[in-house]
Amino acid sequence: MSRRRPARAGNGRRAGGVSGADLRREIEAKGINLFECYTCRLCTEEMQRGILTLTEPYRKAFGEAEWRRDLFNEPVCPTWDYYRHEAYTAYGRALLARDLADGLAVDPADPRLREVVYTCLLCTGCQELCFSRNRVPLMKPFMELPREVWDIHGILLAERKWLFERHGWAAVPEGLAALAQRILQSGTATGEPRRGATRWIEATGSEVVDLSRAGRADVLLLLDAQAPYERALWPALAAMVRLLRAAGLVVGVLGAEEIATGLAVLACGDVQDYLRLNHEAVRRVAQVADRAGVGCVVTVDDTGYLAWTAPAKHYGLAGDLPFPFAHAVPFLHSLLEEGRVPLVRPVEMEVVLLDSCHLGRYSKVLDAPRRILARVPGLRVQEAHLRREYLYCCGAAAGVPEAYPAQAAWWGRKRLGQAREVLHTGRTVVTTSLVCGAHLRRIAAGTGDALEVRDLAEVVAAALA
Amino acid sequence: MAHAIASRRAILPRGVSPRTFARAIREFTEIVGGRNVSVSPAELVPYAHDVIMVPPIWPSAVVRPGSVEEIQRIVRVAGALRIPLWPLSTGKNIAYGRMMAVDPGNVIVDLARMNRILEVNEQLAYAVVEPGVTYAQLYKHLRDRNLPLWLDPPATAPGAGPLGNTVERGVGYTPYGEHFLFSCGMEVVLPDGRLLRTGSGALPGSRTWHIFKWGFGPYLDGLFTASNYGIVTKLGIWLMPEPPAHQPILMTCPREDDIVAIMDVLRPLKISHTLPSAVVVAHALLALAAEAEYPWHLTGGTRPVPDGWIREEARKRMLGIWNIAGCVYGSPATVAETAAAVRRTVAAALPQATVLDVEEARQSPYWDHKVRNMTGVPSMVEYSRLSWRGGGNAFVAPVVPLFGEEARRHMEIARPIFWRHGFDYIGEFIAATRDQHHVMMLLHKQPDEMERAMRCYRELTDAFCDEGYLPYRTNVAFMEHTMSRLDPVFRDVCVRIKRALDPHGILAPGKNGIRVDGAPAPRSRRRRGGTR
Repeated sequence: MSRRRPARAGNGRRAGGVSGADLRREIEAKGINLFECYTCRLCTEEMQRGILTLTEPYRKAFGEAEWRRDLFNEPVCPTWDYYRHEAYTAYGRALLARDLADGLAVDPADPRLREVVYTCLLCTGCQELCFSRNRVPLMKPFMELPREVWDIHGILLAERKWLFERHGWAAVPEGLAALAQRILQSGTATGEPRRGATRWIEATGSEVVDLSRAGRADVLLLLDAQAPYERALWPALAAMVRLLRAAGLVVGVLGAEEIATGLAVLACGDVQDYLRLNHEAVRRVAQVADRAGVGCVVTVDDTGYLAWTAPAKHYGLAGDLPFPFAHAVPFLHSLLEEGRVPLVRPVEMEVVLLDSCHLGRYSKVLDAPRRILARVPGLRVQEAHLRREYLYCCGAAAGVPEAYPAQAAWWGRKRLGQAREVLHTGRTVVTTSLVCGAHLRRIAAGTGDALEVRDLAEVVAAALA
Repeated sequence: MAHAIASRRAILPRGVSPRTFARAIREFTEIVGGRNVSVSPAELVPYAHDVIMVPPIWPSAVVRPGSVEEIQRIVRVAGALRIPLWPLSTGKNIAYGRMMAVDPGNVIVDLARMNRILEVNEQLAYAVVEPGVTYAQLYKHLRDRNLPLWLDPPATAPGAGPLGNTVERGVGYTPYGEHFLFSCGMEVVLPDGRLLRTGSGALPGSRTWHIFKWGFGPYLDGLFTASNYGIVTKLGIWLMPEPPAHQPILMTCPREDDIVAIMDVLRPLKISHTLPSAVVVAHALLALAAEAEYPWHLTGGTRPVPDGWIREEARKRMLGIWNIAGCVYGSPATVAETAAAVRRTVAAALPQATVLDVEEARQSPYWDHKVRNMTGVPSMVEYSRLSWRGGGNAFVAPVVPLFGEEARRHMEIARPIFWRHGFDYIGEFIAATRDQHHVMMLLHKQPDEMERAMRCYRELTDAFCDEGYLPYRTNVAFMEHTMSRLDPVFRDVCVRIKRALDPHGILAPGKNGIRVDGAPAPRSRRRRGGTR
């Protein structure tokens, strides 16, 4: 039997100082057994109600009537949906990790390898279907101890980390590498210097204290790498400030001192720089928050929230922070619950709420946006069929729009289509993520779609007196 | 570990030079486009693994055609360059080898892109499907159009497809459960690239291709099932008209030795078609494997699960030691009368049986799954059996005459072998008309118990063959071994047909033990797959 390619260093050998065994160790250190993927391919099955019959969380999420209806089938994994090729599924990628750990030789310049690894949006949709992960509550309802025995997200991140450590930037798709390097060099997603971080304040006339210079504030609003530099997102920032101000809070920002949390850097597999960025970001925030008497640090960015709250096995900071920290959506919800934000003006419109992968599915902030919108007088809120934990990723995540723009646009169009099919008279899509909102806005504009994409804060702020 | 060694080297098809292989890939790319050809290990990974008794068997490439014409061209290129092809439909084939080829180095021809439902004829109750059509897809198609037709899904995998399942002689649970019996008319790409239409389809412009099986002259369809003589690209499948009424009959029996009486009661009911569905008689442990957690603390993974544990867990779930599911169909009056007659028969012959209230029983995942299977609705419950010990799953499926004593004898053969290898007997008897499929699940833990499972599987295969019981289907790793147990004349005829249709042996070499260079010798298994 002859070889078909020149022999390359197998993963049994060390390249870049790492070997296949290191990948296995990395994964096993997370408490994951690579053989817990039974390759059943449930993650590729379509969410056809009545077929996915024994999934208790699914039944709870959708209610008995809808659960029994057998009305649609939509895959939850976007890459399976797009490629219909089993390499582009959770189990395909898990098998790849298993083989890499076992010594499978790969060429970092292989574009298909990159595509398999880096088109994954890290949206975690597969985890909701995966019965290895959920087997107790999903398929074995009589069992008593829910537990997570499988963590595809942890495997995918470890796989990228390993590829990066072994091959460096050579393994990372060009667009994603460029985005990550912009973040590492400038601290912003656009590469714009950070001194532009406060332009939105003047442009929107928002009442915000730039704490990088001096001053005090009740809330330190973190904006991360994208929103202050993307004009289309400024109305959302201004709306959030108005809501916080309406609750009587003084709002501060870090201005040019704020640096990105850099999910795109993690998406490349550059865990070392990702953690360095985040430790530095936390240090700066802590310093200012302490000096400015900040009561709570609130981020508007779902990827930033994830960076600081995700467990260590996902290379997050696990909430180990020297200050109180929240995402703006649950924070706003708590203000509304306390009656501190008067929503009185009717907002007579029909909207569809689209959950975000990072905030909704991963961080389980699912009820707060619904409860917030329910408080807006006159607002009629529709739900997409694929929603809550079973939401369909819009394609904005993990630097995929930069690396694979055609695919990201396809997913964005599909998500907008899912929104359109439940709207009766309205044309407004509400997102809980600025990153998703920016992506969907671009897709809607590019396709001439009549849908209007707005951030949750914009819709809610319209109800302020 | 074997699998670690197995995955270190990229490979070529046996006897093919790198230059020839590169030319084949170029030509395949011209046919299907670059996006649909891959030699990247990252894209070959899913085709290399089973669920999961066998070490990886790596293909050399995957090609994903989108039309019959593309398949014909691929086959011609492969024939000219002697490239072995391994065709797949939806690639599920869970517990029988999934997408794996018998040999390493084959080019996988993945037909999943060909997923059109070409026709559904409501009046004549049939559908014509391409290889990539799934049961879930066909089910949705029928539901979306409110067509009063049922499909017949297998117990696992809504993502499996009717064409692949039929060609592998899979079975289901409605009266249309013998899938090949209820198929009619194939289109087949032959190894020389020509297109064969079987049965009535042989007449150009035929108007009876999918309604009259026999056509004129020899009936060829069977040659293209469980074989490697052609690539089936279209199949007519008969659909069951939705009956005006149906009544599932669900029962439990409390003792292991009840199996004799159960199967003897079922025989006349099945042969007379009083019970037209397949009737499943499943051991408690088969249901528990899908619903409960394996009691490692009681067994250490080397001893059988204790009877006391089985009885206690079964009791919690409306299960007996034997769990019987059948169904009657027809007009409301017929159904009521037949169901009552069945109950009377059972009450007389099986006083120890408990007849379950169907609605109450459907609160249990197992019973709900069974009812769905018998009423044409795909279900996923059987996936959860994969987690019983740790992912390993292979089916051993010999066929048995429909007698109670035969069933008991089968358990006497099987159980000590499972126990000797540290596994549990997890089985069911599926009563067809005159036979029963004895389907046993070899559930094991990956990767630790893989080699032990392989030894167990081989011993089971041999033990049943020694006693005259042939498996109706087997895992890719045991195809050659199983073929080696058959009569030399049968094997020789299989090889001669192969040589006549596929003289260069390019289609699925080794599939069901058939190769152009001869069938495997008895009692020996050529070592081909598994290393690279």
